[in-house]
Amino acid sequence: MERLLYLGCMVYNRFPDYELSAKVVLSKLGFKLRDFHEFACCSSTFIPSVSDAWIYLAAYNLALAERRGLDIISLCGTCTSMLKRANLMLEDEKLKEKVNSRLAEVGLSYSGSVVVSHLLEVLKEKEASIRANVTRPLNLRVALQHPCNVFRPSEVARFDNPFKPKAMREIVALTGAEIVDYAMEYECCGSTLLLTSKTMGISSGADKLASAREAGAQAIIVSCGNCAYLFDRHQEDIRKLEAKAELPTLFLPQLIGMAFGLSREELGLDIRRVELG
Amino acid sequence: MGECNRCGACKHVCIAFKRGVATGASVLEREDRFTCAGCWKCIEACPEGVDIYSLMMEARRRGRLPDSFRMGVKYILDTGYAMPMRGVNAIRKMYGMGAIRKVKPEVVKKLLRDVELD
Repeated sequence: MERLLYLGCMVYNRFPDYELSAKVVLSKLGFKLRDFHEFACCSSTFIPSVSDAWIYLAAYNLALAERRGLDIISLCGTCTSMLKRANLMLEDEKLKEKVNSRLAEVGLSYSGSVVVSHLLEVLKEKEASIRANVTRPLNLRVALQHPCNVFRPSEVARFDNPFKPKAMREIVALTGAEIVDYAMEYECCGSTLLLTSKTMGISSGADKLASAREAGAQAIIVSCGNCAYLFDRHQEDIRKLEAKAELPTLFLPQLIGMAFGLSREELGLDIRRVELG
Repeated sequence: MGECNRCGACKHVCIAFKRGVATGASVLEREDRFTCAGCWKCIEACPEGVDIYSLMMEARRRGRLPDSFRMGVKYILDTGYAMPMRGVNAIRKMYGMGAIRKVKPEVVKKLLRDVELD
């Protein structure tokens, strides 16, 4: 159960608490996570918007993992999707040859053996183990933010229902937390809109959080750095726009870890000073 | 791959459209192809199986790149990451986390040598 943990730029740069809590929870579930040294960006939305060469960077990450003989667990939606997309495209032998000639320049090659899974996918396979580790069932009402790119496009993701995903609900239910239904549950958070329209990004976040709070949630649970970036790092702008949108953001493994009886320190809860009302 | 018959199903599920991005008959016809959340509900909604992802990326390459995208591309070309990472390992140390070695910039330069920013 040894795996490489692909942080991606967002988690590496901004959310050490997501990394910490994912590591400790996955280790309770029997995984041995290894740090992914020398990883690079998955290419994100940026490189594909300018060039087909994005696949070289995505394939570089896959090739590094293959050299270590390890499959990848990733924490964000887009990273998961881009690495999976590269893997699928590299089933084409001609493209693989082309990509490999580029990888050879940096001393790497890739045969296509690495399996990429988002955290939700591996947690879903460990439901029995999660249930067995819950020692302090949570008395908390939470709303869920489903990470779009873990389910869509479905031909790349090949996981769960693309419009109404169930995995996160089923996993969170194991913690004892009450999952509130809210009107905007299956809407995208809108974080990426921040890139070209701060107004649209902030209003999207405000609408979602206000809808979740109105439904009685005490926290919004995320499993993607990009969602957290909007909800947590833009909290002030969101509150300024909509006072009723005040809601703490918790990463899924932080929530699970709380139900496992892990400490605030182990789960990095003091890094962003998450206080649950 | 299917062809767009302008049914409008993609618009109906598009968060950018809902928030006011001026859109033609389909998400691919609008002028601003960058104000997109990348949620790809449009792909799931399309009854014709149009490869909206690839077409959207190709369309973006024909237009002017917004500054935020230019910045993202530039960071990746220069460092291998989509944002500044200079202090990241010092911050990790503060939280008692080990350093993660970064990708070598010369590796990124080789891999992405075809990518040009005008």
